[in-house]
Amino acid sequence: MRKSVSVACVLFMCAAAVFAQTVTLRWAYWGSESRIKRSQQAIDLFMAANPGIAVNPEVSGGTGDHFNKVDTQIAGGSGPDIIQMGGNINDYVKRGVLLPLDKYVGTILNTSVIDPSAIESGTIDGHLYGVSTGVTMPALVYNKSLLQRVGAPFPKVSMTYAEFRAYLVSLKSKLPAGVYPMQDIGALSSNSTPFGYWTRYNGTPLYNAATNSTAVTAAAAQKYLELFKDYRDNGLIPPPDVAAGYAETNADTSMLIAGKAAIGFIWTNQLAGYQAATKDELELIEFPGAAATKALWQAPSQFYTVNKNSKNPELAVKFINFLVNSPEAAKVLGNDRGASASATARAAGSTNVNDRKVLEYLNVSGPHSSKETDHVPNDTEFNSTLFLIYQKVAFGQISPAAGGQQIHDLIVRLIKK
Amino acid sequence: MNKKARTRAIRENLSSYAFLTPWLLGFFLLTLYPMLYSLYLSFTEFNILQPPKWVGLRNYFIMFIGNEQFPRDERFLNSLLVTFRFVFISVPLKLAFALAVAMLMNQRLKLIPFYRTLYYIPTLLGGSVAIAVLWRRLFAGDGVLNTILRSAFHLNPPAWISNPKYALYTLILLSVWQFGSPMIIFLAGLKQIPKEYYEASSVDGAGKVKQFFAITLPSLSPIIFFNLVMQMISAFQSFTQAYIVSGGQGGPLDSTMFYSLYLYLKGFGFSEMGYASAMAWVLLIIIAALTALAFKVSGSLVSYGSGE
Repeated sequence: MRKSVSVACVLFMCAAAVFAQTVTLRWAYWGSESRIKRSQQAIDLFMAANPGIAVNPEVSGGTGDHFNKVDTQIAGGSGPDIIQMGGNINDYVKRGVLLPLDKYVGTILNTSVIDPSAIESGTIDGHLYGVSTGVTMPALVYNKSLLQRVGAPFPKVSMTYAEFRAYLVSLKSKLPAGVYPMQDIGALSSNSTPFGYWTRYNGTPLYNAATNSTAVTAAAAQKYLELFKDYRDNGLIPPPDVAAGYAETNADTSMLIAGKAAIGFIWTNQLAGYQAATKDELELIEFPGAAATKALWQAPSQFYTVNKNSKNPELAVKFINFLVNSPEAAKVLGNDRGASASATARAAGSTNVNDRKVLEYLNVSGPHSSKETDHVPNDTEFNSTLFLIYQKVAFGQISPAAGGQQIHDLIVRLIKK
Repeated sequence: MNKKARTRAIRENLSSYAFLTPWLLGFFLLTLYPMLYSLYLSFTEFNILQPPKWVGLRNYFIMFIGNEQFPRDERFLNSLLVTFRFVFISVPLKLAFALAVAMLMNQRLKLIPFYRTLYYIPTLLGGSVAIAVLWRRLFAGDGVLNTILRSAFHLNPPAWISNPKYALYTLILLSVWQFGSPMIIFLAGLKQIPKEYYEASSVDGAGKVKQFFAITLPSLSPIIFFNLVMQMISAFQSFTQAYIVSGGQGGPLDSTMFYSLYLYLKGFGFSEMGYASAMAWVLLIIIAALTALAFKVSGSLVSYGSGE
């Protein structure tokens, strides 16, 4: 009896010793199938080069699920080491969740090869909290194969709103019943980017953090709702109950990918993921009116951040440095998290056709951009409620005028909060 | 002697407590403590990541009253309305359906055990994510149902699941479809009704319908009542179906924004855990009140038999 106990003890200690040699980093991010594949390849490369460090990905399908999970884990004291952040990084810095990375700069983290604007975007209150995964831009995406099949002309990359509407009308006459010229991108369940773009185009940006104010008036928001009401009434976008059938949270729930719309909206870093979900060829064009107003913007796609309570912050930073700066990682990660902001990563080049399409798009629309507008506080609530108001107008429950007033009140309320 | 007996009693008590410890720990740490903590949180503003801030009754104030500074939460009232509609339509339908099937299953047929199993299956599957996804495909604008309606009947049906007029009813249908557990309970109840009642009444010339209202329903009334209370409580807490079918949005137009779904959105989506906790307590009070009401009303309607 005693013998077997001691044997078990020895076995246990051996096992403990084996495990002790490997340090495990937990990396939480969100993304679709293609991002998971690319990320795993990068992890494999890192683990091959760094024996003794294991990286466990913890993946969610979308941002909502990701942050629900991460928030709960952090509150329970078991947060992941590396957390992918989006535009809400400010909220997390304010809540004191993230580790300032300044002391690793120059030693473990090489920032000298990263574009200064990308470093600036991850710097909050004078401290570097997030390393940009790359830049990305909002874009319209169209289904080139579908247009070829129905014999419709391809759209120009840069158009005015008038040209754009005329193009949609010309498309409508070519497309079969049940296929619409454009998705209803006016407001999306998880995303208010097209509205954000239009407010910049209209000269009434959503939010100014310095003055804690909005330039969006009820009249301006009404104008936006009327713009899309016009598209809807003329069959250029689907009726509301058809649009509501597509959650538009990723490629799998996209009306464009389902083949029911010719034009949709994505961020450029999503192109590869969307392209992977369809056999049809996709191409990028600008939002209308960008050339004249420079209303587009380049955004840090996401950030890699480190949990303040990580037990292995140095290793976490080392892994991040590998992801953003090493040519090997750049090759497998591609443009999935944005076009890299690191010179060493870019030097690795790309043979991928999607990556090249994005680069071409960035070359045209880069000059049609200006500095990003500040994010409205409580981003998630803004998106969710804006979407609800937008749907009320779409379903004809309230007038665009009432909707405009509600949007204005919403922004004001969130700013005051 | 007396003393000895007492120490033995104490020892027995202690050992029973020792055996109960795992359960007691679970109760105090995993049930009672979180409940009391959520009661505390309901009086605070809490974003999960920073310590809660005491705000008194403000969360409750925003739900029901509201003022200029803290406007009333219209989405809360809407979610309450949606949930009530769901409960008051789905529960009676489900019970009626379960009773009807139970009466069919109460006959002497060859394959009855097989059918009973078969009809219970939806209950096992119904709460699952896969079925919710299936439901979405069935009732979508270009889903299975509409494809059939279009090709076979040349109709032009709406997109059931993404139309605010019909979306809730697809969820009610999903709930009614899971009639298995009340059906089993009804079946057990039907077996308890003495055959002599039916024999005697048929001698007196009572038809099937008359028998149903005069014998079956009154004899089953305690069981109907039990099923009603249980189903009502679980219907108030429905979450999974609405979450999956509506893609987590409670849409379209908040038409499937169940109470628990909105609670989840507030707590985890908008990081307002204090408000979400307050909502949880309001739900508890609503369910408790309705259950109490059901017991009160039942006094005159439920007969527990006069005994032999």
